[in-house]
Amino acid sequence: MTELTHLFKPGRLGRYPTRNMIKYGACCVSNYNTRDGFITPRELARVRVIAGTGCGIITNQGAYPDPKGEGKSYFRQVALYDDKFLPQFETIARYIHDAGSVAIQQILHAGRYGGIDLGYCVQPSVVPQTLPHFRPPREMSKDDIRRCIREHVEAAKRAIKAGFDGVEVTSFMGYLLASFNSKFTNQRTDEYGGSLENRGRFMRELIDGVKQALPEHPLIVRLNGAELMDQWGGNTEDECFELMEQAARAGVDQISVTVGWQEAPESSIGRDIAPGHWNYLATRAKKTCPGTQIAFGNRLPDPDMANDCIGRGEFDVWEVCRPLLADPQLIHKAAEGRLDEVRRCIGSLNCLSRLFRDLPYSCTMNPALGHEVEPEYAITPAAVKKKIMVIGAGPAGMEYAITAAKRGHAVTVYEKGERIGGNLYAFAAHDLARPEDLMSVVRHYEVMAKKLGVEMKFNTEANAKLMRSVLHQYDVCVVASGARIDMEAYAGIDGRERLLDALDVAHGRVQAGKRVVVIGGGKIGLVLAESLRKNGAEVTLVERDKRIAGDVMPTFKWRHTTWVEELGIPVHTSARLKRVTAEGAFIVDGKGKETLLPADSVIAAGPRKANQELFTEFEWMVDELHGCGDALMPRGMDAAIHGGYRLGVRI
Amino acid sequence: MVAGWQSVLDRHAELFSEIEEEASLAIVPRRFVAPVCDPVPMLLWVREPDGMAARTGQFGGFKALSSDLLLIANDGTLEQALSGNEPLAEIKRQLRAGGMLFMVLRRKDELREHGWEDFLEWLGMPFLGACR
Repeated sequence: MTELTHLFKPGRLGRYPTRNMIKYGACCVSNYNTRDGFITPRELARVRVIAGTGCGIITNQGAYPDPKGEGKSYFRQVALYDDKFLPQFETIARYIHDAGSVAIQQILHAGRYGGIDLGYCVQPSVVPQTLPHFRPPREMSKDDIRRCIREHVEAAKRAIKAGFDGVEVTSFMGYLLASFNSKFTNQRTDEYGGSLENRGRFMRELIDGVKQALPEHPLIVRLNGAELMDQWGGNTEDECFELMEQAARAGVDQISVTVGWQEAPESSIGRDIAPGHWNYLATRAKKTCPGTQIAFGNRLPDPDMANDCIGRGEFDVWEVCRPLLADPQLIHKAAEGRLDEVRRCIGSLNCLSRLFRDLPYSCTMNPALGHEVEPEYAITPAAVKKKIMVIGAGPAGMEYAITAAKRGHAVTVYEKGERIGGNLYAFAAHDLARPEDLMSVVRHYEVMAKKLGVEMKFNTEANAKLMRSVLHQYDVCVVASGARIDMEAYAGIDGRERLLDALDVAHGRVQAGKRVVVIGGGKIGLVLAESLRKNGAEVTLVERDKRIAGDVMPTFKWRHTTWVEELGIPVHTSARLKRVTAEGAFIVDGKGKETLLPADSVIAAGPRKANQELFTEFEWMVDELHGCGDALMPRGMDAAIHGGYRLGVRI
Repeated sequence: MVAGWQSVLDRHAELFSEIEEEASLAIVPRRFVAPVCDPVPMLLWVREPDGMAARTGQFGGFKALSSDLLLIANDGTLEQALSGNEPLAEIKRQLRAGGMLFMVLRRKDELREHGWEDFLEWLGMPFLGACR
């Protein structure tokens, strides 16, 4: 049983008792719905999983409140400006109540980031966008402001009519409420702009409007503890907390403390931010607004840590979302003392990378997310229990192995190395952000393999000889042998025998010198170059393409380019290797100019080639032969995990 | 100052090679930036037939500005950038450090049509944001 007594003590939100101090935060719009704002079966199936997470309070994702769609920020965001949307909201409220939780509906008017289907967005003042993704601004008139408040109130009433217990208005990340509060975007000279009191007027009128209409129902506001926009003329932290006081005085039932704007020059929730980094903002909110419940969860993915914070009185409610995308059973596992089984959110922000390309969100760690409506993605008992051999203990092989084992198959994994993880292990060892996040993937597979009885055979190379030795013992063979650096791609290069293989260097099988040239500015080359440079080597990066980081997750590209600059790694783009000598690497740029890059080690970090030879070798030696992950097509960890899972639920 | 930036633009011609003729980027000191203001001198990077040209112009507020992009600099930041070895890299650094601010005066599709994609990508603008 749990020792997380603070997290699992009963609580209260307004007049509603809650079974614990955990709130499912509406951190992400799913983009699973129709273009005109109706909730789809896909969304309903997803929300059913959310309802089952065990959180005491569950917030349904933000709906835009206006018929014009000025508040709409995401391609397939849900709407709440008309009763025609209510039937599906009623279903969602019922799911949440059936699961024993308090149901909150978020109202999300994106303001500066809205108007996705329009040619403009609305703001308190015309302050041009700083990110090209968003629409050019129009200033709201006083009539617009009054109408906007009315639309929020009507949307709130509609949510209650659908069966929700309360509503939340979000100013997260620079949405409309935030842009009224901030002096960066609010440069009005009327009663809605200027002083902090005036800038907070929109928020107070909004709170007052909703509270007057729905006095019996809890109202939550999400407010920035830090905008991270102060260098550009935004609010200071002191101003953010004064606005929180205004909200508390206006009678909100809970303040959810958030961090940062979309366009802030710093990151706030990615892998490079240490868990607990922003806790001081929650602590300050609690001190500033002692009579108001404070919810917090930014970059606080760990239930143990959240439990301790609540115990110390730093905040009242742990607001969590992304960790529950990665593992919807997180709360139940925490309650049952099974935290070692949790599949951790690794902060890759695949979810957001996809949202900003108008795609439905997905999760690196949870391949079933967004596919709950499809029975094909469910783990069900296998009709025929099989003996299965898996070649390779990287993410694809292990994901397949544990999925198959959950279905009742007997699984044995053959791994030529001495541990689980494959190239991910080497990648994590050199990662400058937070190696612990990537290592948590490896640890998860280690724990689950043990618990599920997956047999691991390390230091065992899979080849025809091995296969002959186990002939007819297995029904299925899954080749998840990963990918390698394609050294044959350098066949025409003089001195190619001097090249080092990036994976050999990353795994520590080969030592690089003190002056290094890395050929290939994709993620393998970047991670290795950054790590070698950080450890004191002089490193130069050479990339054929116009830009580096072509295969890196969009939300992490900036991080690599910044590291490369900060570490002082010279980069030669649109350049290719011509020859390697004892002096170093000779490269040729796009104009044909040859340059010597002095080096004692020249490392080939690309291109990659799938390890597919075993498919041919094993073709006539086993009943079923399948493949997954980089062995099919070198892509990356997400594709490997998702591919392993999809094969696992199918065979 | 103009000659200095011209030399920088010439050195990085490949970043601006796709930009449409007459498309421009304006650079203005932060203290002057307002929707409308009395005309003050500004620096312009304008695409001409032979490449990107550095020029001076008059800034009367961003409402009337015909440029696609506006770079706002704290006092001294631009001069500091120009005096270093890599002025464009310094601009990129200052954008992240808060010494400069970038404003987008056209829609994304218009910027793409005008050929700014390479430059914006190089600056890392599509990937900025705290939500990461």
